[in-house]
Amino acid sequence: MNIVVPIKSVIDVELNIRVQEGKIAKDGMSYIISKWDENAIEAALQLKEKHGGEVTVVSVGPDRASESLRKALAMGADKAVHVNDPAAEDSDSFGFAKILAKVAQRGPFDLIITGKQAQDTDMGGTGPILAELLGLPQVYNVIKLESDEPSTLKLNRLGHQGQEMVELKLPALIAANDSLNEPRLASLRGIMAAKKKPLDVLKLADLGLSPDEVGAKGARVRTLEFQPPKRRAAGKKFEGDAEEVTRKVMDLLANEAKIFA
Amino acid sequence: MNSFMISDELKMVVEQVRRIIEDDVIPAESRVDPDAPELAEEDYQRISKKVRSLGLYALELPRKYGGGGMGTFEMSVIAEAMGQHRMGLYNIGCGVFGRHIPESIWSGTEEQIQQYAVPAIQQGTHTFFAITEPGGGSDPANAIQTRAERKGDRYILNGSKIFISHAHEAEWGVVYARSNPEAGRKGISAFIVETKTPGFTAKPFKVIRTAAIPNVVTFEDCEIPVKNRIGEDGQGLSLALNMLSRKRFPYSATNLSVAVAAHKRTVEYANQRKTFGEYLADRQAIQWMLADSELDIRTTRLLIWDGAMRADRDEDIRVLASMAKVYSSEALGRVIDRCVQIHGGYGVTKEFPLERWYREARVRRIGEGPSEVHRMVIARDLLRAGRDQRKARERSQAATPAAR
Repeated sequence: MNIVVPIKSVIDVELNIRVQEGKIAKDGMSYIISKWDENAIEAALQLKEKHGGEVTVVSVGPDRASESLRKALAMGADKAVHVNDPAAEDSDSFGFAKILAKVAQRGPFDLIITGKQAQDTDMGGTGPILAELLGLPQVYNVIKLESDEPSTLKLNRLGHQGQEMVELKLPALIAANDSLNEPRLASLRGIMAAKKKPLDVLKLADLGLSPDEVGAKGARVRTLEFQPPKRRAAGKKFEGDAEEVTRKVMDLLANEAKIFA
Repeated sequence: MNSFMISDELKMVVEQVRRIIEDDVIPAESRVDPDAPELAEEDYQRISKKVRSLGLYALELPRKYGGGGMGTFEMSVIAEAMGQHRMGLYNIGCGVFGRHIPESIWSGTEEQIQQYAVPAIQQGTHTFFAITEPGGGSDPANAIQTRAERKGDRYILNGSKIFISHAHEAEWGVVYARSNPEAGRKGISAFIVETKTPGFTAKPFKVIRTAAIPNVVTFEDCEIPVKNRIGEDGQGLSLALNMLSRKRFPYSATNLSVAVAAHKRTVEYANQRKTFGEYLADRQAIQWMLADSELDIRTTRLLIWDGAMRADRDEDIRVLASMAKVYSSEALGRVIDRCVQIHGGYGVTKEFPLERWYREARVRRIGEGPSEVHRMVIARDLLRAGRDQRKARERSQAATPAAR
């Protein structure tokens, strides 16, 4: 089973993210693999361990994206593709999906696994558009995955009210929820082996794409600006007799915060 | 010289270590008493098993013994991540990545290494290192009174040691004793002593730190087979000196790790805590403390990394090792003191690790050679050339008194 896993290198959200002049400040930040993408990698590795085949990780981004790809190789992926082209930088979901579709079409594949959304933008657009461009069926927000034979997946996807169980014939695209699995850490052996695994660096031209089709020029959705979240106001502390305090808190919740309205 | 290069591989190893510390060690640590010396046994076993399955166990152990084969620089960078938790200073990684064993064992025979060193590391058992005696620790050539008397194929040990960490829970340790009372420094030998040897007793006593509990160890006619002597008779103090110096860098990086952990926490706290209607972060008194801590941390790191890299290039690093030891332990003391001050009362509650770090940091300026002894090493090195010249001059003047 050959699996393609697109991954995104995002700013470590544990750090203090700063907004400068409507843009997210990128210097001095450290980058990690977007967390749902780690679940996608794990799912791919488990399927490979069961059915054989290859896992290819793909990332579109500047030089630093190669670090995330090496991490995925250290976890156990077999090869990596890094689309490193300044013209791709300000793509929207549609632009990224176009690039990823071209990469996927370079070789035969059975399955694409993405994270359900990126950890930085929370957009969740690239996966569905990618499936659409490749004419693939897609199952989103997968929380359970079984596969007795390599041609079919049995999936549970999480909805608002419950779970939906589906059977999916490959080729297809699925998107991982973080409860799908527990992403493995890289072993020392895996880390040492990662450098010897193939990592192809491609430009847009290598994929037959012109700079106008993607990036800021090809974008259908334009980000106007980013705004930092409001600093949360300090909470209130109540002390004293439990009954009295409860009454006071209930009163404030009802009449000041109006949460029951 | 180029700036320090940290390979992608090392970065990844550090990241895996950091994740195990944050996701496994710290939650397990929160389930035991704040002063506990160890994790609960089942947590230790579970996490250590995970670490082993990832090949991250005993990273400093040579590959031929099943370890990670990491060098001094790599171990120093890794230790900075591994020590960032409550027990970090005296039980780094809570032992899930492996525990220290006495360095001098590596000067032993392959048989001694296979019989003692390898199983201790693989099983994560405690060991001890006994050189300090009631008469002193930094001057072993004069202070060691414990006798090792040769009788046929055995040595008979008599005497006592003090401040011997882990001796009460160890299976074996390395003991330094005087085998030739006339030979001074060259009359001291090192022995592997099993704690089940008749006549061996270890009595723990309480000190400011609650981990790596120290003991008074006594030997009463302990019979040690000659094959348990490390090196030749009288070689004890010249054993593993180079190895001991190298280990000062990861040791110093442990000081650094706790300084970093305390400082990070304090920077966050300054941005949350308001007093008199203002954030601590907006007060210059606090800003200056934070800036000083940042300076302490970065200078410490550079000192450690520089020495550790030179150690890996087989340069003579004995003086640099002393510098790293003095500077890191004193910088830790300053940083943690400021962190406690900025946290106010919360700095000394057992709800936070600061209180434990503060207590344990004080010991770091004493154990493994107090600051003064390491300064002596540094000064001696600085003055040696001039002193030799001076002496040579004095000798030649004495030889030719009537030269004029």
